[in-house]
Amino acid sequence: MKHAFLDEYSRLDSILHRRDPVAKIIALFACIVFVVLTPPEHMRSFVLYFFVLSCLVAISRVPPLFVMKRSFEMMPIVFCIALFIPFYRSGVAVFSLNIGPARLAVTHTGLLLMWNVLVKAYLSIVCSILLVNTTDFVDLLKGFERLRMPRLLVMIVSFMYRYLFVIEDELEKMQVARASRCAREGGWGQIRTLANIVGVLFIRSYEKAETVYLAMCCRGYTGPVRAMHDWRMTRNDVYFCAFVFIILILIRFSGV
Amino acid sequence: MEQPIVELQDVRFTYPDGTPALAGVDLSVARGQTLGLIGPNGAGKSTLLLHLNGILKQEGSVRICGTRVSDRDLALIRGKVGLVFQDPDAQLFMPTVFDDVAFGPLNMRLPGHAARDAVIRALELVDMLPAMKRSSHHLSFGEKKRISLATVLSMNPEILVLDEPTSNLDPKHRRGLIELLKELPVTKVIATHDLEFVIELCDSVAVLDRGTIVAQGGVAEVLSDKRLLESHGLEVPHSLRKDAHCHIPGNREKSLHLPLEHIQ
Repeated sequence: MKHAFLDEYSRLDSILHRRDPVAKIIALFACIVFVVLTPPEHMRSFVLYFFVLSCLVAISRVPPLFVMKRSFEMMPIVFCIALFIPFYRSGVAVFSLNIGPARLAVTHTGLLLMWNVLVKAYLSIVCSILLVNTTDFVDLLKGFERLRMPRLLVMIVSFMYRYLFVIEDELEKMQVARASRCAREGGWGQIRTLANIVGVLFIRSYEKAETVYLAMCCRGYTGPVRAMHDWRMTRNDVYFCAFVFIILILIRFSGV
Repeated sequence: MEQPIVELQDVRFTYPDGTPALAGVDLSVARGQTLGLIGPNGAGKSTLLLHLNGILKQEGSVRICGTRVSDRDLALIRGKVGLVFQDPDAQLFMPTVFDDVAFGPLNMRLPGHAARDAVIRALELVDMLPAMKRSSHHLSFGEKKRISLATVLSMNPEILVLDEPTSNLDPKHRRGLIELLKELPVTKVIATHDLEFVIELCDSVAVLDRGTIVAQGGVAEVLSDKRLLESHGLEVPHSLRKDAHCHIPGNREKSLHLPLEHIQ
């Protein structure tokens, strides 16, 4: 079966890739916090944040087009939420829509809030794409664990990462088996088969989960998950964090 | 006489839906021996294996190294019995090969450096050390099977329990597995349909059908008993058949080569 990756570019070599995952989590999480705490009127700050993130993307050697594509893939979800904001704010109406007896007014504060949500969401998404694509997923999980994220949550995500593609392969096999046995099925019949496939997939995943649990018990699992870590924060990692923090503080408090 | 390392007495098990899986199994394996467990599909082989480390238990007694398997001694028992599942995707659940092989030793409370040494030793044994940092998902089936074995070898078990170790393996990997298992000086219990594998590797064999042991004895003695094997959904392996050295029947007659005069 094909080898799929969530973290496609995490195996590149760059200054950013070589940083300790903990340093990257702290730095990029700080970016998100600073972006979120910037007032919506500070347009220039957002431009500077975008510039800083673009520089980080360039340093990381992750193709900018890939980052752009991924970020736009996620934006529709944000857009769905942000779309209704302009109608829910009271204030000076910029324009209004008359739908039958209902009158929907779009306000200036509403539009500003929508811009605020969109730009902050976009910058945060770029931060997360950068984090995931400069850190091996396993190291990322271990980084979260070292930052005292509950082990159980880390374990759940690590199982998801391990079995997502196994389930995908399983689905692909069933699709091939279906296609091999019905050449002309379409419309309603296809939907019905798909529903059956989803059901079978659920049962198989459930059974696999049971076997995995047994396999864990066989190797002495009693509840707590024990794992080993290879990373250690170096002086360069501390410098990296400090550098990102200084830039963020400069952008936020320089009055632009 | 030395006490058997594995001893089962009247082990019975019924699944929650009422399906009887084991109906009174008596079995013993001497230290250092390799036992092949054969039987038709649904005979209860996998269920029986899960009794050896206390994953399943209902009635009867299971003794490992003289210790009766009970909830109190589960940690001890699971350190002694290394069980490898048939499906490597169930056996390998951690994000990297290293973490998977280290899972057992860390659960046995081995300190970090000792666990690391155990992982490296186990991966060297199965010749998979270079794959240490890789994700199991990106390995071939044969590689996954070998790493599955390493996940229990790192726990240094006294008894190795394998469920269908050769299923879906290509001849090269199957040969590699046989050579590897031959070199391991531990007691082995192997459930399999691969009777040639049993002939090469096992000292004795037990036939399980409908939840009971219907025969146990030397490999040649049991596996050449045509009547016994056929009555339990098995057949005499090719290398033990009396006509094993004959030509494959019909090969000559069905030849597609035309006689020379036809070509002329």
